Amino acid sequence: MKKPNKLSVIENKPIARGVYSLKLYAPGLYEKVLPGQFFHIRCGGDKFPLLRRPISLSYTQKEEGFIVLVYRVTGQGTEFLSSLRLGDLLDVLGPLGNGFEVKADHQRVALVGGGIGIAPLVELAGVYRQRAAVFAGFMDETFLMEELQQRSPDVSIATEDGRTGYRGFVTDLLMQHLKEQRPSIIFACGPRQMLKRVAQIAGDNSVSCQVSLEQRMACGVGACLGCSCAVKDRDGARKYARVCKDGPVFWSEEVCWDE
Amino acid sequence: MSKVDLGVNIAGLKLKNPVMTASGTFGFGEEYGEFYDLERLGAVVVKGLTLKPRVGNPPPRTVETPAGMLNSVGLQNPGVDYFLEKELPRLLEKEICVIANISGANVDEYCTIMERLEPSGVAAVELNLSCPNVKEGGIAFGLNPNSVYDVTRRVKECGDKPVIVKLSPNVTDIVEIARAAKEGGGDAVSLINTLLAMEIDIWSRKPVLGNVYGGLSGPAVKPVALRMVHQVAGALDIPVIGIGGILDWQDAVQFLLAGAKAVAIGTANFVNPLAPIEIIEGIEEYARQQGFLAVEDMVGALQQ
Repeated sequence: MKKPNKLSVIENKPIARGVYSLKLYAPGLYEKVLPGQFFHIRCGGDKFPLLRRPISLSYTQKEEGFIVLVYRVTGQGTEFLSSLRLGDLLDVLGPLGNGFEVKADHQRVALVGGGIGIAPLVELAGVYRQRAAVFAGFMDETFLMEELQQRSPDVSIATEDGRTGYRGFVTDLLMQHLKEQRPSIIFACGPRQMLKRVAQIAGDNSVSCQVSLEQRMACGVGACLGCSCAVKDRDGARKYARVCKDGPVFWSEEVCWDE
Repeated sequence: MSKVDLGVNIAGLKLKNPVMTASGTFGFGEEYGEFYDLERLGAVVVKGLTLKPRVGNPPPRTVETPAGMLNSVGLQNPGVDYFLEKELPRLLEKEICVIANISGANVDEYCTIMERLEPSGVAAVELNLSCPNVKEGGIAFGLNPNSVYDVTRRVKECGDKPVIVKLSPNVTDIVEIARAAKEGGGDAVSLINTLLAMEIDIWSRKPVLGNVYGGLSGPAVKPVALRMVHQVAGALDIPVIGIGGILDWQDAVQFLLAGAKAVAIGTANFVNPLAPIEIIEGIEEYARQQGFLAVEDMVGALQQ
């Protein structure tokens, strides 16, 4: 039977303005969590904030039994998380949802991340290593670059203000890349507008593409139908899928991007 | 140590304990069945069913608010026939008391759904007369005593299964509505459904929910629910199922003392998947400590 886990905080430190890296000792979980899956975390010692907050796995440290979650402080839940210290216990449900479809026969893959959406790509970069070309987009300040570069030698950076790497959108870098190479698949995580553009580029170049979506969640396990997003099924019929249970990773052509 | 009798009789059903799940928070049991054996529950009240499948409302459908949350799922469900064919058999493989929550666009639809459920293994039917998130049906029936009476009476004529009438709190006089359910032949009432509510994002200047309005649930509504349960249980001779922001066993005990014969757990499932089980254990322990031999002895045992 599944149960909520009580995990010890090993480290919780800011890695950029408003962005934190939370390391948890997670025996029993670090072995089975897949890139793209998330954890549903109780953000308060007592009753409030009420609902759990979904946070994706950034990467595992398997020798030590650690999982690392990287989050941006955006409200009461993540505010609470940012206050955690060494030795605190956290109520964690998961791993939940479907991760990215990792396949041995993917010769070359492109990973595209925007902002905090870069976090889940770190574990994925560790799976594909030299086979991955990573494209990381930021507004201004970068983070997780070292972690990405340790795993994959081919990391390109775009910043909107031009302070690091290419000045402009990360999707420009992807387009450039596709003129030179044809990856087996594109994996993307980031703001919806970015994902929509990545999906378009993937479609134009006939490269299959998976995206990790975000939505406000309540139960996190598929029961409440609160985190729905519009998708098309195989026959093209529009329906709502659960981001928590049917996703958070979807095929880009499934998603109804204009809703 | 003496053993507490947790069983309750409600609407002709003999429940092994007074703790159910609230419709719409528990799907068809599959997801939470991965956390514990559903046989431990007094009853499973499944996701609201309609005659035809419904896609539901546009996202976002949920948002957290102070001590609570809003939802505007809009009765997304695969329809009663799918439920009977695909979901119910799985539940009935075990000793689970299944209560089907149903919603119709009009009285005839409620009757048609009831007729489909009548030959099935569901133990009882809960009439959703109180969903705030759909345009037709749902709450439209729950605000007016005449329509509550009418739909309850008509559905009762369609079968022999016990009928529970789920009431909306968005009314002036909850007792008047509950009386209409009783006079229409309802075997029990369950209350409360969610309170109609909204939340605005001041930066986009848009409502947070795709459907603009949604239903408020969670601890924020508990005192309102408790007051309404107390009023109805005090005024009428009809079993009451207490629902509304029950997060732990202490909350559940309050509802039993206020006169509810059973309770249903909703939003708490999202916070703690094991909440219903912990609540059953907590009620038992409280009863033992307080010297109640049976949970039914606690019902309405409020000191004046």
